[in-house]
Amino acid sequence: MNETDLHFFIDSTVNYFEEITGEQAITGIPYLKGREPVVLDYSGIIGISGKRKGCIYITTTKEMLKNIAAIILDDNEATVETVKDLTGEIANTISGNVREAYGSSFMISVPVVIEGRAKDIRLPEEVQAFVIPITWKEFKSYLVVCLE
Amino acid sequence: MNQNNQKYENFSLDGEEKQHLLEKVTYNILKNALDGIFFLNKRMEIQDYYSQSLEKILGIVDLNEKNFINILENRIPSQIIESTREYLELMFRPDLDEEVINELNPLNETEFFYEDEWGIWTSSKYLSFIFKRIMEGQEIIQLSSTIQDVTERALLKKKIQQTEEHTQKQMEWLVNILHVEPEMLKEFFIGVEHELLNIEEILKNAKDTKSHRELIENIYRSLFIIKGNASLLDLRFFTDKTNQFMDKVLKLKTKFDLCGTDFVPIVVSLGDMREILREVQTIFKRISHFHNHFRVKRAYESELLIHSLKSLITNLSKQLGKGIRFDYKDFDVLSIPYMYRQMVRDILFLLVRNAILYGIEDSEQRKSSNKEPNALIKVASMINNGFLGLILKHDGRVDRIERIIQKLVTYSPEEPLPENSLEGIHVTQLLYTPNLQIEDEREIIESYSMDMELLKRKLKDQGGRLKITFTSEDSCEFKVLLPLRKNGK
Repeated sequence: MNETDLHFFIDSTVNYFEEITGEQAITGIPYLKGREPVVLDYSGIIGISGKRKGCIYITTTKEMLKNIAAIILDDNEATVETVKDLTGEIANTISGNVREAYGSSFMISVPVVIEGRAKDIRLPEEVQAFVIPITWKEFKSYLVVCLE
Repeated sequence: MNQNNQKYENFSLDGEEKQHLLEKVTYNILKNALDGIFFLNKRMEIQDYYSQSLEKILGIVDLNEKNFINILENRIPSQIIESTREYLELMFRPDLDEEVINELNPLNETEFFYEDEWGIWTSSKYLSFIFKRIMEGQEIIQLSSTIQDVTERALLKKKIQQTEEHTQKQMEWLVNILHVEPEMLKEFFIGVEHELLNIEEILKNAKDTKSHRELIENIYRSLFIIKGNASLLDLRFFTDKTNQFMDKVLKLKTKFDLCGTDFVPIVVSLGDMREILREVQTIFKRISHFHNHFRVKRAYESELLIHSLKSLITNLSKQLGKGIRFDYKDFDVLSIPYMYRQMVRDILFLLVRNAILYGIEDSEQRKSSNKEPNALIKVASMINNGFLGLILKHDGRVDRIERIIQKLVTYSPEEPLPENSLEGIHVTQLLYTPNLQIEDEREIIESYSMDMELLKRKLKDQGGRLKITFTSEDSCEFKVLLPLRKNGK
């Protein structure tokens, strides 16, 4: 993983928030993921294979997703299904950007949405994972990038 | 071959019974063959007579009439799928030479990925697909294909390639660590691990932008310690890598309006350092199998601290052209509780190193000051009133420290100094103040103050304290106290 890759994933995610909601998201200080879990209420996971293998996921709180739903869908009472779809959409946007940037030598999976605070999301052990905290409004989410 | 074809034709023309027999043989072959065997028509559909193992190899059931290209989707990169489609189309063109076209086979050896129930690729195999034309007269009616699982071979090839790529780098590292005593190297690894963990914690616990400056200072301090220790052991690759990392941190130091993404180079460098440490430790483990003396007895291990200090004094004094005697007769290594072993080592290393670097003069200077040409560093330990006490005393000059303090006072007028500013306690306070820098002594002060700041913090965390006393004009004593029971336990 190099700096350009990491910048790219961060920018893709942060831009999403601004484009969709009109409000800028703030990137926190990135750190290396250790053994402790980085999982919030909803997580959208994208698998990457081919020349380089790994996975990227974004994990957010229900409150944040409900707030986004209120802005982009004008839905103040977003259901579980809506917030799940929204998680998938965020992950899908990142996935689309990755596909565009990395070309056809990579395989990028359809996002998988996980609901609930799982113990952790298992990542390839031999590959370093970077955690990037992202704050949108007062809500926290994490982007986790684990790529060979 | 022609003869065989002739036989086949004769055989196939030979009545219903033989036809039945042929079908039976074919059935048995397809049922028992270990390789995946299948046939493709011009629409690239898999024909219903395929080997039973094909489903197992591809991880897909009921392949009958399924489009081969569609099967590949999401299992191999789209770039290869597109090439496969073109290749198979060319294979059906009779005007093109089969052998030449086969040179283009993109599935000759490809990594095939398997999804779990979530659609995430959890495993892969390397498969080799071989295609061959089936002719009927001049027309190509089908393609036969065999698939072999070549995972073992491919992984071995990959491993050899990776090993070759790493060998040169690892050889350099190996040569670079061979001159260092194994136990010192082990301690170095522990120290690096500790500092990297410290940087990781700093980054992880960084909550708001206000603390960015402090955060950078703390990271820089940890790197400074790694660099210092690597330099002492002459581990050049580690020193270089740490220098590169420090340069990135320095860039941040001079930048205004820091934001989270500014720390991307830091976290990536941290990842690189972790990787290097892991690899060097692996090399070390490998070579340790060949050296019995790498496995030390516990009794020796407990005396290792003195041994390491001796080596530090010998190496550094030689490097700086200073003569130093080391007195440790009042230092009882076995009295140090296990929980403090690493910390005591860090403290003594830091104090000894700084004494040699900044306090002790070279032999000529000492002679001209009517001192013993060889300086003295003395360490002692004691247990008293529930505290473990450590003393480090040296008879190097203290005027250098005084000079630094004087310059600091001149340089930072906003820092009010007490009237009796040269008393030991105030000297300590000044040394504890980070970021007081002057042109010509910048590095000395920076490193000294950083070291002391770090030491102060470490001691504070443990409920310990440090006292510096200038017992005479030519002698300085550092006394460290560490509680034997932590948190009132």
